[in-house]
Amino acid sequence: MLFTGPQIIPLGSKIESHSAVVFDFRDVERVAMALAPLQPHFESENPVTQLMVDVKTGKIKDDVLNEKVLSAIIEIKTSLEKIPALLQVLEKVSREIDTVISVGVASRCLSDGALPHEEWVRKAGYLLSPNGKTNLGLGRPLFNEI
Amino acid sequence: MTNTLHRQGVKENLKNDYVIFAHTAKGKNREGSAPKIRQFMEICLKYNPVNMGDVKQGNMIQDDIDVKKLIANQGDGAGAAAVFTDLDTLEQVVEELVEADLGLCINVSGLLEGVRECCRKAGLERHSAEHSLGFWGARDRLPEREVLEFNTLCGHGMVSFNLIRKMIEYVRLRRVTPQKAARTLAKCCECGVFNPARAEMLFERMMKRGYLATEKRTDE
Repeated sequence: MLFTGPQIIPLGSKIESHSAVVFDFRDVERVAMALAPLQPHFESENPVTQLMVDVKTGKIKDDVLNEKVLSAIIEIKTSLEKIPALLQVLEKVSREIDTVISVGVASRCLSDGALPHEEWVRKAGYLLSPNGKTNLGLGRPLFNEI
Repeated sequence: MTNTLHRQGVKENLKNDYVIFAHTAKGKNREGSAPKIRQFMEICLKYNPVNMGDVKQGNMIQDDIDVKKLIANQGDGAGAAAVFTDLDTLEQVVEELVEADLGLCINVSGLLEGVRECCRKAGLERHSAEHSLGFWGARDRLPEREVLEFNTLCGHGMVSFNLIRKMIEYVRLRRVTPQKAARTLAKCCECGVFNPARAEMLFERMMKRGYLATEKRTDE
Protein backbone atom coordinates (compact mmCIF):
# COMPACT_ATOMS: atom_id res chain seq x y z
CA MET A 1 0.00 0.00 0.00
CA LEU A 2 1.06 3.56 -0.62
CA PHE A 3 1.31 6.04 2.25
CA THR A 4 -0.38 3.74 4.76
CA GLY A 5 2.22 3.16 7.41
CA PRO A 6 5.91 2.77 7.99
CA GLN A 7 5.92 -1.02 7.87
CA ILE A 8 4.47 -1.33 4.43
CA ILE A 9 5.26 1.99 2.79
CA PRO A 10 8.08 0.96 0.47
CA LEU A 11 6.11 -1.30 -1.82
CA GLY A 12 2.90 -0.18 -3.36
CA SER A 13 1.17 1.42 -6.24
CA LYS A 14 -1.64 3.76 -7.02
CA ILE A 15 -3.60 3.54 -10.21
CA GLU A 16 -5.63 6.52 -11.37
CA SER A 17 -7.74 6.96 -14.44
CA HIS A 18 -9.71 9.90 -15.75
CA SER A 19 -11.16 11.12 -19.00
CA ALA A 20 -10.89 14.26 -21.15
CA VAL A 21 -14.15 13.84 -23.05
CA VAL A 22 -17.69 14.40 -21.75
CA PHE A 23 -19.21 11.27 -20.23
CA ASP A 24 -21.65 10.38 -17.48
CA PHE A 25 -21.37 8.52 -14.22
CA ARG A 26 -22.64 5.30 -15.79
CA ASP A 27 -19.22 5.03 -17.45
CA VAL A 28 -17.49 5.75 -14.15
CA GLU A 29 -19.59 3.08 -12.46
CA ARG A 30 -18.83 0.54 -15.16
CA VAL A 31 -15.09 1.05 -14.66
CA ALA A 32 -15.31 1.03 -10.85
CA MET A 33 -17.47 -2.12 -10.84
CA ALA A 34 -15.05 -3.86 -13.21
CA LEU A 35 -12.13 -3.11 -10.88
CA ALA A 36 -13.96 -3.92 -7.62
CA PRO A 37 -13.74 -7.76 -7.79
CA LEU A 38 -9.94 -7.41 -7.56
CA GLN A 39 -10.48 -5.77 -4.16
CA PRO A 40 -8.54 -2.55 -4.65
CA HIS A 41 -8.71 0.08 -1.93
CA PHE A 42 -10.73 2.97 -3.38
CA GLU A 43 -9.16 6.11 -1.91
CA SER A 44 -11.62 7.35 0.71
CA GLU A 45 -10.78 11.07 0.28
CA ASN A 46 -11.41 10.89 -3.47
CA PRO A 47 -14.71 12.60 -4.50
CA VAL A 48 -15.70 9.71 -6.81
CA THR A 49 -15.30 7.20 -3.97
CA GLN A 50 -17.61 9.37 -1.87
CA LEU A 51 -20.31 8.91 -4.52
CA MET A 52 -20.14 5.14 -4.22
CA VAL A 53 -22.89 3.21 -2.47
CA ASP A 54 -20.49 0.45 -1.60
CA VAL A 55 -16.73 0.44 -2.18
CA LYS A 56 -16.75 -3.36 -2.29
CA THR A 57 -18.82 -3.32 -5.49
CA GLY A 58 -17.92 0.10 -6.93
CA LYS A 59 -21.63 0.87 -7.36
CA ILE A 60 -22.36 4.62 -7.73
CA LYS A 61 -25.42 6.30 -6.19
CA ASP A 62 -28.39 6.11 -8.58
CA ASP A 63 -29.18 9.82 -8.36
CA VAL A 64 -25.87 10.87 -9.94
CA LEU A 65 -25.64 8.24 -12.69
CA ASN A 66 -26.99 10.57 -15.38
CA GLU A 67 -24.75 13.48 -14.42
CA LYS A 68 -22.32 14.50 -17.15
CA VAL A 69 -18.76 15.44 -16.33
CA LEU A 70 -15.53 16.32 -18.12
CA SER A 71 -13.24 14.61 -15.65
CA ALA A 72 -13.62 12.08 -12.86
CA ILE A 73 -10.74 10.32 -11.20
CA ILE A 74 -11.01 6.78 -9.85
CA GLU A 75 -8.12 6.41 -7.47
CA ILE A 76 -7.16 3.04 -6.01
CA LYS A 77 -4.35 1.67 -3.88
CA THR A 78 -3.25 -1.87 -4.38
CA SER A 79 -0.36 -4.27 -3.98
CA LEU A 80 2.25 -4.50 -6.73
CA GLU A 81 1.36 -8.04 -7.74
CA LYS A 82 -2.19 -6.99 -8.56
CA ILE A 83 -1.06 -4.35 -11.08
CA PRO A 84 -1.10 -6.64 -14.16
CA ALA A 85 -4.60 -7.95 -13.42
CA LEU A 86 -5.97 -4.48 -12.71
CA LEU A 87 -4.50 -3.07 -15.91
CA GLN A 88 -5.94 -5.96 -17.92
CA VAL A 89 -9.38 -5.35 -16.45
CA LEU A 90 -9.03 -1.62 -17.13
CA GLU A 91 -8.02 -2.29 -20.73
CA LYS A 92 -10.99 -4.61 -21.23
CA VAL A 93 -13.54 -2.21 -19.73
CA SER A 94 -12.06 0.73 -21.66
CA ARG A 95 -13.30 -0.96 -24.85
CA GLU A 96 -16.82 -1.11 -23.46
CA ILE A 97 -17.29 2.59 -22.71
CA ASP A 98 -17.73 5.53 -25.07
CA THR A 99 -15.09 7.76 -23.58
CA VAL A 100 -11.38 7.97 -22.95
CA ILE A 101 -9.53 6.80 -19.87
CA SER A 102 -6.13 8.28 -19.10
CA VAL A 103 -4.24 5.88 -16.89
CA GLY A 104 -1.52 6.66 -14.36
CA VAL A 105 0.45 4.48 -11.96
CA ALA A 106 2.42 5.76 -8.97
CA SER A 107 4.44 4.26 -6.16
CA ARG A 108 6.75 5.28 -3.39
CA CYS A 109 10.42 4.99 -4.34
CA LEU A 110 12.82 2.50 -2.83
CA SER A 111 15.81 3.85 -0.91
CA ASP A 112 17.83 4.11 -4.14
CA GLY A 113 15.09 6.09 -5.88
CA ALA A 114 13.88 3.15 -8.00
CA LEU A 115 10.17 2.85 -8.67
CA PRO A 116 8.79 -0.59 -7.76
CA HIS A 117 5.80 -0.35 -10.12
CA GLU A 118 7.93 0.00 -13.27
CA GLU A 119 8.90 -3.65 -13.44
CA TRP A 120 5.32 -4.85 -12.85
CA VAL A 121 3.85 -2.57 -15.49
CA ARG A 122 6.46 -3.58 -18.07
CA LYS A 123 6.01 -7.26 -17.24
CA ALA A 124 2.30 -6.82 -17.85
CA GLY A 125 3.13 -5.52 -21.34
CA TYR A 126 2.31 -1.83 -20.98
CA LEU A 127 4.42 1.18 -21.95
CA LEU A 128 5.45 3.78 -19.38
CA SER A 129 5.71 7.44 -20.35
CA PRO A 130 9.16 9.08 -20.27
CA ASN A 131 7.60 12.00 -18.38
CA GLY A 132 5.57 12.01 -15.21
CA LYS A 133 5.28 13.57 -11.81
CA THR A 134 7.84 13.37 -9.04
CA ASN A 135 7.21 14.09 -5.39
CA LEU A 136 10.41 15.45 -3.87
CA GLY A 137 9.43 14.44 -0.33
CA LEU A 138 9.89 17.93 1.13
CA GLY A 139 6.43 18.12 2.75
CA ARG A 140 6.33 18.30 6.54
CA PRO A 141 5.32 16.85 8.92
CA LEU A 142 6.23 13.42 7.59
CA PHE A 143 3.42 10.88 7.52
CA ASN A 144 4.58 8.83 10.50
CA GLU A 145 5.23 11.94 12.59
CA ILE A 146 1.51 12.79 12.87
CA MET B 1 -0.80 13.82 -8.85
CA THR B 2 -2.66 13.66 -12.19
CA ASN B 3 -2.44 17.37 -13.06
CA THR B 4 0.02 17.69 -16.01
CA LEU B 5 0.78 13.95 -15.83
CA HIS B 6 -0.44 13.30 -19.36
CA ARG B 7 1.50 16.00 -21.23
CA GLN B 8 1.95 14.66 -24.74
CA GLY B 9 5.07 14.87 -26.86
CA VAL B 10 8.38 13.23 -27.61
CA LYS B 11 11.51 13.39 -25.45
CA GLU B 12 13.01 16.00 -27.76
CA ASN B 13 10.38 18.63 -26.94
CA LEU B 14 9.48 17.39 -23.46
CA LYS B 15 13.02 18.19 -22.36
CA ASN B 16 12.07 21.88 -22.42
CA ASP B 17 9.15 21.48 -20.08
CA TYR B 18 9.30 21.29 -16.28
CA VAL B 19 6.53 22.38 -13.92
CA ILE B 20 7.21 22.74 -10.22
CA PHE B 21 4.27 22.73 -7.81
CA ALA B 22 3.84 23.67 -4.16
CA HIS B 23 0.90 21.99 -2.46
CA THR B 24 -0.48 21.76 1.04
CA ALA B 25 -2.70 19.19 2.71
CA LYS B 26 -5.64 20.16 4.91
CA GLY B 27 -4.95 19.40 8.54
CA LYS B 28 -1.27 18.68 7.83
CA ASN B 29 0.57 21.73 6.51
CA ARG B 30 -2.13 24.03 5.08
CA GLU B 31 -2.74 26.20 8.09
CA GLY B 32 -0.29 29.11 8.17
CA SER B 33 1.12 28.19 4.75
CA ALA B 34 0.56 31.59 3.06
CA PRO B 35 4.01 33.07 3.81
CA LYS B 36 5.66 29.80 2.73
CA ILE B 37 3.79 29.77 -0.58
CA ARG B 38 4.81 33.40 -1.11
CA GLN B 39 8.43 32.42 -0.46
CA PHE B 40 8.11 29.49 -2.89
CA MET B 41 6.87 31.89 -5.59
CA GLU B 42 9.59 34.44 -4.85
CA ILE B 43 12.24 31.75 -5.17
CA CYS B 44 10.74 30.63 -8.50
CA LEU B 45 10.48 34.21 -9.75
CA LYS B 46 14.22 34.75 -9.19
CA TYR B 47 14.90 32.14 -11.87
CA ASN B 48 12.63 33.69 -14.54
CA PRO B 49 9.89 31.11 -15.02
CA VAL B 50 8.08 31.23 -18.38
CA ASN B 51 4.81 30.99 -16.47
CA MET B 52 3.65 31.01 -12.87
CA GLY B 53 0.31 31.21 -11.12
CA ASP B 54 -2.29 29.65 -8.91
CA VAL B 55 -5.80 28.32 -9.46
CA LYS B 56 -7.52 31.10 -7.51
CA GLN B 57 -5.95 34.23 -9.03
CA GLY B 58 -4.69 33.19 -12.45
CA ASN B 59 -1.32 33.22 -14.18
CA MET B 60 1.32 35.89 -14.79
CA ILE B 61 0.68 35.92 -18.56
CA GLN B 62 -2.89 37.14 -18.17
CA ASP B 63 -3.30 40.87 -18.85
CA ASP B 64 -4.86 41.75 -15.50
CA ILE B 65 -2.34 39.91 -13.34
CA ASP B 66 0.52 41.73 -11.68
CA VAL B 67 3.09 39.22 -10.51
CA LYS B 68 3.90 41.13 -7.31
CA LYS B 69 0.21 41.20 -6.36
CA LEU B 70 -0.12 37.56 -7.38
CA ILE B 71 2.51 36.68 -4.79
CA ALA B 72 1.36 39.15 -2.14
CA ASN B 73 -2.25 37.90 -2.29
CA GLN B 74 -1.43 34.27 -1.57
CA GLY B 75 -3.54 32.79 1.21
CA ASP B 76 -3.21 29.61 3.21
CA GLY B 77 -3.30 26.54 1.04
CA ALA B 78 -3.78 28.19 -2.34
CA GLY B 79 -0.80 26.33 -3.75
CA ALA B 80 1.20 27.57 -6.71
CA ALA B 81 3.10 26.39 -9.77
CA ALA B 82 5.90 27.69 -11.99
CA VAL B 83 7.22 26.51 -15.36
CA PHE B 84 10.87 26.26 -16.40
CA THR B 85 12.38 25.23 -19.69
CA ASP B 86 15.64 23.58 -18.65
CA LEU B 87 16.98 21.23 -16.02
CA ASP B 88 19.87 23.46 -14.95
CA THR B 89 17.49 26.18 -13.82
CA LEU B 90 15.15 23.64 -12.22
CA GLU B 91 18.11 22.26 -10.30
CA GLN B 92 18.91 25.70 -8.90
CA VAL B 93 15.29 26.22 -7.89
CA VAL B 94 15.16 22.81 -6.17
CA GLU B 95 18.45 23.49 -4.37
CA GLU B 96 17.12 26.77 -3.04
CA LEU B 97 13.83 25.16 -1.99
CA VAL B 98 15.68 22.43 -0.11
CA GLU B 99 17.72 25.09 1.65
CA ALA B 100 14.60 27.13 2.49
CA ASP B 101 13.01 24.04 4.09
CA LEU B 102 9.48 25.41 3.72
CA GLY B 103 7.72 22.16 4.62
CA LEU B 104 5.44 22.50 1.58
CA CYS B 105 4.81 19.44 -0.62
CA ILE B 106 6.86 19.99 -3.78
CA ASN B 107 6.16 18.06 -6.98
CA VAL B 108 7.85 18.35 -10.35
CA SER B 109 6.27 17.36 -13.64
CA GLY B 110 8.67 16.54 -16.47
CA LEU B 111 11.01 13.90 -17.86
CA LEU B 112 11.36 11.53 -14.92
CA GLU B 113 15.02 10.63 -15.32
CA GLY B 114 16.02 14.28 -15.67
CA VAL B 115 14.07 15.23 -12.56
CA ARG B 116 15.58 12.30 -10.64
CA GLU B 117 19.10 13.51 -11.53
CA CYS B 118 18.12 17.03 -10.60
CA CYS B 119 16.98 15.82 -7.16
CA ARG B 120 20.23 13.93 -6.62
CA LYS B 121 22.31 16.98 -7.48
CA ALA B 122 20.31 18.87 -4.88
CA GLY B 123 21.11 16.14 -2.33
CA LEU B 124 17.69 14.45 -2.42
CA GLU B 125 16.41 11.04 -3.43
CA ARG B 126 12.94 11.35 -4.91
CA HIS B 127 10.11 10.23 -2.62
CA SER B 128 7.57 8.89 -5.13
CA ALA B 129 6.69 9.25 -8.77
CA GLU B 130 3.85 8.64 -11.18
CA HIS B 131 3.90 7.51 -14.81
CA SER B 132 1.26 7.98 -17.45
CA LEU B 133 0.18 4.85 -19.29
CA GLY B 134 -1.48 6.92 -21.98
CA PHE B 135 -5.05 7.23 -23.22
CA TRP B 136 -7.23 4.14 -23.44
CA GLY B 137 -10.74 3.53 -24.69
CA ALA B 138 -12.56 5.54 -27.37
CA ARG B 139 -9.51 7.37 -28.62
CA ASP B 140 -11.34 8.24 -31.82
CA ARG B 141 -13.09 10.89 -29.70
CA LEU B 142 -9.80 12.68 -29.12
CA PRO B 143 -8.49 15.42 -31.42
CA GLU B 144 -5.34 15.29 -33.56
CA ARG B 145 -2.05 14.40 -31.83
CA GLU B 146 -0.68 17.92 -32.45
CA VAL B 147 -3.76 19.50 -30.82
CA LEU B 148 -3.32 17.22 -27.81
CA GLU B 149 0.29 18.39 -27.44
CA PHE B 150 -1.03 21.91 -26.85
CA ASN B 151 -4.13 20.92 -24.88
CA THR B 152 -2.28 18.76 -22.36
CA LEU B 153 -0.01 21.70 -21.51
CA CYS B 154 -2.89 22.76 -19.26
CA GLY B 155 -3.45 20.30 -16.46
CA HIS B 156 -7.17 21.06 -16.24
CA GLY B 157 -7.92 20.95 -19.99
CA MET B 158 -8.84 24.66 -20.02
CA VAL B 159 -7.39 25.33 -23.49
CA SER B 160 -10.10 24.31 -25.91
CA PHE B 161 -9.40 22.11 -28.91
CA ASN B 162 -11.09 24.63 -31.21
CA LEU B 163 -9.09 27.60 -29.93
CA ILE B 164 -5.92 25.58 -30.54
CA ARG B 165 -7.05 24.79 -34.10
CA LYS B 166 -7.87 28.48 -34.62
CA MET B 167 -4.40 29.54 -33.45
CA ILE B 168 -2.79 26.92 -35.69
CA GLU B 169 -4.76 28.35 -38.60
CA TYR B 170 -3.79 31.93 -37.68
CA VAL B 171 -0.11 30.95 -37.53
CA ARG B 172 -0.46 29.22 -40.89
CA LEU B 173 -1.98 32.37 -42.39
CA ARG B 174 0.73 34.51 -40.69
CA ARG B 175 -1.99 36.47 -38.91
CA VAL B 176 -0.20 35.97 -35.59
CA THR B 177 3.33 34.98 -34.66
CA PRO B 178 3.97 31.67 -32.88
CA GLN B 179 4.83 33.68 -29.78
CA LYS B 180 1.52 35.60 -29.79
CA ALA B 181 -0.46 32.41 -30.47
CA ALA B 182 1.32 30.62 -27.61
CA ARG B 183 0.58 33.47 -25.19
CA THR B 184 -3.07 33.54 -26.25
CA LEU B 185 -3.39 29.86 -25.37
CA ALA B 186 -1.46 30.29 -22.12
CA LYS B 187 -3.96 32.88 -20.86
CA CYS B 188 -6.69 30.20 -20.75
CA CYS B 189 -4.78 28.06 -18.26
CA GLU B 190 -5.71 29.62 -14.93
CA CYS B 191 -3.19 27.90 -12.70
CA GLY B 192 -0.16 28.82 -14.80
CA VAL B 193 1.24 25.41 -15.76
CA PHE B 194 0.91 26.02 -19.51
CA ASN B 195 4.39 26.31 -21.04
CA PRO B 196 4.25 29.14 -23.62
CA ALA B 197 7.87 28.55 -24.67
CA ARG B 198 7.12 24.96 -25.61
CA ALA B 199 3.86 25.96 -27.32
CA GLU B 200 5.80 28.52 -29.38
CA MET B 201 8.28 25.82 -30.32
CA LEU B 202 5.42 23.52 -31.36
CA PHE B 203 4.01 26.27 -33.62
CA GLU B 204 7.46 26.86 -35.12
CA ARG B 205 7.82 23.14 -35.77
CA MET B 206 4.51 23.25 -37.61
CA MET B 207 5.71 26.17 -39.73
CA LYS B 208 8.62 24.01 -40.87
CA ARG B 209 6.92 20.65 -41.13
CA GLY B 210 3.31 21.42 -42.02
CA TYR B 211 0.05 21.87 -40.17
CA LEU B 212 -2.13 19.10 -38.73
CA ALA B 213 -3.19 16.75 -41.55
CA THR B 214 -0.62 18.25 -43.91
CA GLU B 215 2.42 17.48 -41.79
CA LYS B 216 5.44 16.44 -43.83
CA ARG B 217 7.13 13.38 -42.38
CA THR B 218 10.86 14.07 -42.53
CA ASP B 219 13.86 13.09 -40.45
CA GLU B 220 14.15 16.59 -38.97
